[in-house]
Amino acid sequence: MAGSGLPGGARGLVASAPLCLLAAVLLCGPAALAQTLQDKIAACAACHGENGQSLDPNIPHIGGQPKLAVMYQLFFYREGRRKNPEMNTVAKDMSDAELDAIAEWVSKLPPPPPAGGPSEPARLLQGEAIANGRQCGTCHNPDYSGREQMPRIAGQREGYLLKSFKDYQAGARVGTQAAMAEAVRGLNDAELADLAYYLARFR
Amino acid sequence: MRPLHTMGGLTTASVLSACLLAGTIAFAQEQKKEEEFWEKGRPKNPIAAKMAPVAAPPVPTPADKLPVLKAPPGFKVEVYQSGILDARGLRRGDKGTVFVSSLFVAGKIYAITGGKEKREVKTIASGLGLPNGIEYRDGSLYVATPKQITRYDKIEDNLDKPPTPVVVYDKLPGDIPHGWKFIKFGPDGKLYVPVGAPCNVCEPDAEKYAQIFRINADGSGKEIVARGVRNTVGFDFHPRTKELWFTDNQRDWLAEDMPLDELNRVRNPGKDNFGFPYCHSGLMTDPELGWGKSCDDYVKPAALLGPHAAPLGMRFYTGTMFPAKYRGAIFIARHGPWNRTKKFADVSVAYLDANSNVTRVEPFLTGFVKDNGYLGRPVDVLVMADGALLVSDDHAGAVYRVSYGR
Repeated sequence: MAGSGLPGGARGLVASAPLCLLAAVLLCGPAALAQTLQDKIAACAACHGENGQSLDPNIPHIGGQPKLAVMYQLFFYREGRRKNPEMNTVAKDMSDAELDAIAEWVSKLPPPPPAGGPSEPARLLQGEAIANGRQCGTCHNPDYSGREQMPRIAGQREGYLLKSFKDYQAGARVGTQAAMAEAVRGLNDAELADLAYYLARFR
Repeated sequence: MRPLHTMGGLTTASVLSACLLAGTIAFAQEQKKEEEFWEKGRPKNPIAAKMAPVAAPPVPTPADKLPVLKAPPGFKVEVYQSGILDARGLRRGDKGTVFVSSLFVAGKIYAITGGKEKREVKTIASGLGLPNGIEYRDGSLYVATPKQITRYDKIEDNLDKPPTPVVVYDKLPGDIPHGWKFIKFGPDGKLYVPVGAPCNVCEPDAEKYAQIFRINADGSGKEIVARGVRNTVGFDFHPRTKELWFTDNQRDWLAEDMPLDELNRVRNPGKDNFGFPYCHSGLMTDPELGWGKSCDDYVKPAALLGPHAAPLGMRFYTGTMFPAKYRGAIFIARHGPWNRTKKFADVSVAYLDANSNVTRVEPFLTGFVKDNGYLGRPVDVLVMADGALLVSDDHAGAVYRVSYGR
């Protein structure tokens, strides 16, 4: 039974990579036993990465986010105002003090690097034009590093950015103000995709 | 090899011009779309370009850290209730309950019950989308979101187990920008409902947006009362003349000191137009949309309330606790600007003469700003049965009580 034996020798070393990945996947998810602050922080790291950079393209990077931005999203998850089964479970029992402490921890993690790999210059230009037109840099800073309640969007996961835009458009996600609903209003799917493409690769 | 400058009989020039034309059309469409909503009127100035909406942490300020507010001599200011996240609209039930709405952050409706000795806060509804608008009448609490207005009957008898709300009106446009509500019954028994412009500045469908309308209590009989209203989040009816007065938030990004937000008086319901988006503050036409328009064609504001001041809740003072000069005056919560580098916020008072002309507007309750940052931001005001004034604060998450002479 290939792959089912205990790791040993050269074969074990080869098998350990997928096993580690499996372990990470198993650990990533609502930690039902996360009672202490340390446990809760460990639960964050299990999915979003020890350094705030997730390995799964569907899970956002959290490194380098402004503290208030993190606090607000944890709050919205706790209150069920933002929907995600894993995050709603994780945040459900967080106290106000824990929101503060976890957001503080997250804000100290290093920001993620821009998305790697080859990129299409035409799409970058399209995305840049939309970002400039919608004045994203007014609130999120000219380098998209974010401030206060407004998150870092530079280097964020592309799929996550796109989902966020669509959720704001559909009213499925609320902000602390109407700004995001206004900012993405009227943009079509291709434009939103180009905007996400550009921001994920922003350098 | 085919020459590069011809392509199957097309000359380079004709290809170029066709491309240019297509490019121009695409560019024009792009421009229109962009400017329609978000970009319009944004300055290139780097200081202006750093301004963004202000948000407090999603945690109420502890009672001992709340701002120390100041009122004129003889008045006393105390914390009526702390720990009310995102406290916005205020209404009073027949049995003394104070209802508090919220907006983006909390999505809840609260009820403050009990006397001074054992006051408590109950959450009577949660998970609502922008439930800023509330009103109380004949035992029922009305709650308005950008989408619909609902009614909770016999609410004060059922604060621990509120009834399933009844839908009163569900034909609102539902936009998030300026879609949140302030609602109030008029002396005519009709419910007054605003629909703001779904943008900073634009020309929205005037039959749907930028207006105040009224409906019967059962949601029927809609009629537009006022037009050209960008975004009102506070109004009241003159206790003697019964006229509707409202605050209106003017557009962003024009200048540090312009436009000036408005206090308005509706003399001709159904006919009055207050100028948005063509005339601001009764003083200036819009730099983009106002060409060919004149401020003379619109109703002038009754008073100007300061640049980007965000005047929200307002009430005529109908109590007798305060000195005589305040009776019939209007208390106005100025939430304070985000779209201005120099911040301010207070509850102001507008004095009226016998002809309902505003003679003076001055600060009444201050202390919300420190080092150009907000410690608190007033949203609504409410005259209590004893004549005291309650003031809500969505930034610090509290309700204050201002009383006089006892």
